[in-house]
Amino acid sequence: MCRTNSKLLPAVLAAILLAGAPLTAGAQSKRYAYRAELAENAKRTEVRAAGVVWRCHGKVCVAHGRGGNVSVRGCTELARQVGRVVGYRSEIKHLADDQLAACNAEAAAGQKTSAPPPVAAPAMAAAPVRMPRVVTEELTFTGVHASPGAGSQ
Amino acid sequence: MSRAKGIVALVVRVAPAVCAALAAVPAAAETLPIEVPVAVKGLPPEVSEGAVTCAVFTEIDGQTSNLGYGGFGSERFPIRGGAYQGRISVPVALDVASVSMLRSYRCTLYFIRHVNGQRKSGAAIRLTEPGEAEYRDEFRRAPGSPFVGEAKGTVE
Repeated sequence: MCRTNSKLLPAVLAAILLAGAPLTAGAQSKRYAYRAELAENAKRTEVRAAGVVWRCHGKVCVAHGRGGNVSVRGCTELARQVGRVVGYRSEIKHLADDQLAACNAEAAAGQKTSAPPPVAAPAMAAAPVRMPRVVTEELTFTGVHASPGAGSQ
Repeated sequence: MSRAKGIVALVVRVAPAVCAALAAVPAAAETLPIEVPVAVKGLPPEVSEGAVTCAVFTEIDGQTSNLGYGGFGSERFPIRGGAYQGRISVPVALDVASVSMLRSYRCTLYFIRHVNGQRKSGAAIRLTEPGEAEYRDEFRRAPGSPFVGEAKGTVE
């Protein structure tokens, strides 16, 4: 009957936890330049957002960070500190217009809503919440280009 | 040899606990689906995709002021031959504790075009409105045609 060697426990746990580390570390190790363009001059010259330090001058903020990824959340963190962001990119990726809109909407909302959300009374905590059904009006556009075949679903 | 068996046995014993610890991430945020009918046609050929983004708010006038931002979602749809007609379901990930807190929404139509290998997206209200800085002539609207680039309303 084998007995567990308790001295091995930390090593085994470390081996399990770190098994995937080399792959992710390799992919994330390269550093990239980041650049954000602002609607107005930055409110601050140096801020920390999205896990990196941004240096801002006029309507441009720059930073360097690992991985090259961009995110709405990171953009929001920056916008809250320096103002509305109109461009947010690394050397390899950038936020699209719809993502920039989300970034600025969330940043603006975060600055306007100072009161914490109301907390439900304990007695009401278990009450089921009905999921509302939301159907909007139709979004529609008709341009001047000929449509040889309309796609539909 | 017995030491090796011991290690294997130990791994088998601790693996579930380790996996459970690794899986103990915060629960996924609640999602509100918003149904958005879309009818577009006559778009320039470089437009191959569209998108609808929706934001929700805990204030009635959040749909215009962004006050009480409560979540955001986006969904793309294909555009073939410059046209699309259908209903898009936009999954809105909520940043608030409960869907019952929501009072209003705003959904916006985007056009996505690929130019010289680059993906460029723009809100329909900015690409097609002659007074807007981003107005592009190729997105000129047919005279007299209806145009709705944004839908706003209340959550009930």
